[in-house]
Amino acid sequence: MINSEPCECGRTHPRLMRILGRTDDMIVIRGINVFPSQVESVLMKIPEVGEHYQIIVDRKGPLDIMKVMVEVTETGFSDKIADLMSLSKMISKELKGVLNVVADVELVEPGTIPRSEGKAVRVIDKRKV
Amino acid sequence: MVAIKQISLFVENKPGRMAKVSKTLSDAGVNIRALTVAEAGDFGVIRMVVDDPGNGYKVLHDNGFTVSETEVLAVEMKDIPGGLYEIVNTLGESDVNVDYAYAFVTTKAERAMLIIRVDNLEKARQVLTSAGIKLATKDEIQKI
Repeated sequence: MINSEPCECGRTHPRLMRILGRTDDMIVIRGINVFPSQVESVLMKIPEVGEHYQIIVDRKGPLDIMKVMVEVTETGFSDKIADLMSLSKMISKELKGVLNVVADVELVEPGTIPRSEGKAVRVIDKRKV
Repeated sequence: MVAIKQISLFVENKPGRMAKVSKTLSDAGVNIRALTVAEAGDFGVIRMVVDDPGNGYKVLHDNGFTVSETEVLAVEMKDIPGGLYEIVNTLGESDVNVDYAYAFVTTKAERAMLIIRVDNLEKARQVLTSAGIKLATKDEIQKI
């Protein structure tokens, strides 16, 4: 991950952040390289959702589609449906900003995304070669 | 304060989800007074008024559901044509917006109960009371 904020020491050049994952976790969606760790870093900045996620890649006609499932936390849950809709839209927009890929965001109940035991199954690729 | 507590739940739009919610409440001996399900694609929101909101919230929360409590008004409504109109017209004329509402008939069958969520709770309470409309308290909901 690239950190473009100035360092405490005053250096302003983009720096490498701590290593979040292996590069061979990479998936290619519509020709764009996507690292699951990027998705994680986006979600960690959003308090309304948990840091667990699952990426589902599928193909619709000739195009790849990416769906990100995230868990709603109790703090993020609003009684109003419009708030929940705008939450998923906001996450989708944030993901687009970082990944440059349009991702559908699906909000799910907490605890429904499988937890990592050793190696987490974060990406489910349903595309057929 | 006459506002009553409504329990809202985040649920996925999947078979068996409501069964799980109602089983949890039934095991805890919580009785549902009124309930509504709103769906929005992949997920939905269940809103309900129960006899014991404190306990209801607790058991749902402890069983891993995403729950929140919202303050709503329970308005007593005449069970005749125009009963609803009287209430919403009073609110509308005072510029109070109703976000959502649902109703149920009490077992006495003389009165109906309208649960409303409004943008301005205090103002809604004032205009309804001054129009002679009765708001039900928590205890009254519990006793139905």
